[in-house]
Amino acid sequence: MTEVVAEPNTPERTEQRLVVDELRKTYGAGVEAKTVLDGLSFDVRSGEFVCVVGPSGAGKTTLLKCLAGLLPPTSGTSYLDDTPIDGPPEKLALVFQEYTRSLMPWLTVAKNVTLPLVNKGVSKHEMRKRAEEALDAVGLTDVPGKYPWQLSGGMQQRVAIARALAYQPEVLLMDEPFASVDAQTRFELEDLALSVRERFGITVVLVTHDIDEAVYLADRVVVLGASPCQVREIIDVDLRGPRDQVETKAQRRFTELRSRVFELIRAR
Amino acid sequence: MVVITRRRSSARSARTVGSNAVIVGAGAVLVCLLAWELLARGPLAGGPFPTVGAIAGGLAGLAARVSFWSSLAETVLTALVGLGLAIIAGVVLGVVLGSVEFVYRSCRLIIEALKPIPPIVVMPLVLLLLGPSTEMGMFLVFYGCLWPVLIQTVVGVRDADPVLIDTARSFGFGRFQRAVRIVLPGAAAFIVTGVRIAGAAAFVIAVVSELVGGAPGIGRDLFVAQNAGLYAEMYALVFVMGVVGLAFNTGLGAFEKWMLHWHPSVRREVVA
Repeated sequence: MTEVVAEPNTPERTEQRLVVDELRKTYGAGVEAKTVLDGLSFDVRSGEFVCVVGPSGAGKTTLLKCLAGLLPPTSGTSYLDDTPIDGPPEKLALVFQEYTRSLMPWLTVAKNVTLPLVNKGVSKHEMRKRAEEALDAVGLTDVPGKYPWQLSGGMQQRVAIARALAYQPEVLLMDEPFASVDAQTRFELEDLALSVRERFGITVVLVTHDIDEAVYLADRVVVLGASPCQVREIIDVDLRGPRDQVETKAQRRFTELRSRVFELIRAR
Repeated sequence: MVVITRRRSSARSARTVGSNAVIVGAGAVLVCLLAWELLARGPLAGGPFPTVGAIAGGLAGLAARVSFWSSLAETVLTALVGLGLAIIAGVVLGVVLGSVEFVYRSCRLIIEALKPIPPIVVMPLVLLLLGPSTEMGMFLVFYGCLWPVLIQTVVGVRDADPVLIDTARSFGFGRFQRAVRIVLPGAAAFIVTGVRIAGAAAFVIAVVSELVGGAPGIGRDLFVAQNAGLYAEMYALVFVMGVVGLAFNTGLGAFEKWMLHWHPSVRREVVA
C-alpha cells in the first residue's frame, strides 16, 4: 500500500482574512496630540463573525475607519488577504450607524443599492439582478421604487445592508449598525446579520457598545479598553447550537460570557 | 412596516386655502384697477396716467404688432441665456471652490468684493466692449446671476454630509465621481435657492440692460414709448413685464419642486 500523505488543511496564513498589526492612531501633534488607538492587534478569520466591543469614546469608529481604508493610521498596518490596507479595499463594504445619512435621499431604494456598482463595469441587467438578490436577502422585495425616507428606520438600515451586499464584499464592516433602531427591530436586524453571513459566506466585523449584542452575534469578541484604546482580551464565544434570541440568551454560558466582557470593559 | 401617509387632509385644506387665495388675490387686483381708474379720471386726469381702458387698448395694439413679440422674445432670451450660463458657471466654479480648500481661501476675498457690485455699475464697461447689443444684456444677466448661484453652491458643497462622503469613498468613488454623484445632488437644495434668487433678478437685469443700455427688447420699447409720450403703450409694456416676471417665478418654483421632490422641504410623504 502506498502511503497516504494527509492533505494539509487550508494553511493558517490564508485563513486569516483581516490582520490588524500594532495599529496606532494619534490625532493632532505636539502637546495637543491625542492617541486614540494605542497599538491594536487582532485578526479575523475567513467567514468569521467578530464583534469589537468597548466603552463609548474608546475609538471604535476610528478603528473601523482605519480598517475601511478611510483613515490612514499613524503607525502599524492592517492587511486584507495579506495586502496592506492603504485606501478603501475593493473587497470590503461598510455599513454605518446613521442610515438616514448614508443613504442618498434623492435615489430610490433600488438605485441606492446599485450605486456602488456604477463604476465597476457591471451591466444594467446584472445590476438589477444583484439589487433583487440583495434586497431579497434583507427581506425587502416590495420597495425598490420607494425612496429611503418613505421607509422606517429598520428598513432603511436593511437597505444600507443590501447595498453593501450588492457590492459583493468578502468582508463586511459594520459600525454600530443597530444602535439607532428600536429594540424589537434591533433583534430582527441582528438575526438578519447572522443569516446574511450564512447565505453569502462573508466575514463580518461589527463594532458595538452593546455587550449582549456582541456576545450574541460573535464567534469571537474583541474587547477594547478605555481611551487610549488597546485590546483587553479576545474571547471565544462557545455557545451551543445556532443562535436564537430566546434560546441562546437563556444559556448559562451566555450569561457567563457577557459578565466576563462587562468586567473587562469596566476594569480600569 | 412602510407607512406612507399622503397628508390628504392637509392637502385638501391647502387646496381650499389655494382657491381662497385666488379669490382674495383677484379681489385685490380689482380694487387696485378701480383705484387707478378713479385717480386717472379724477384728480390725476390730464397727467401721464391713462385710464385702464386706454392701457388695455395699448395692450391690444402691442399684441397686434410683430415687433412687440420679437422684442419680448429678445428680452426673455437674454434673461434665459444669461441665467443658464450663470447656472452652469456658478455650479461648476462652486463645486471646485467648495471642494478645494486652497482655492476657496484664495478666491473668497475676490468674490466678496465683486458680489456687491450691481450689474448696472458694470454696464458702462460692458457697453464699451459689446455695444448696445443682446450680448451685452446677456453678459449683464450672467454677471448678476452668477454670484447667488456660485455662493449657494459653495455653501452647499461645503455642507456635504461626511457620512455620505465616507460611504462613497468606501465604494471606491474618486473625487470627480463623488462630486457628481454625491456632493452635487446633496447641495441641490442650496443651489436651487441660488437659482431662484438669480432667476428673480435675471428678467429685471435684462429689462434694465435694454432700458438703460439700449439693447433691443421690451425695455428699449418702454424707453421709446416713454420718450414719445405714448403712455398707454408704456403702461401696457409695464404690465407685460409684470406678467413675464410672474411667469418666471412660477416656472422657477416648478423647477424647484421637480429638482427637490425628494427633499424634506418639498416632499409630501412622511414616515409615520
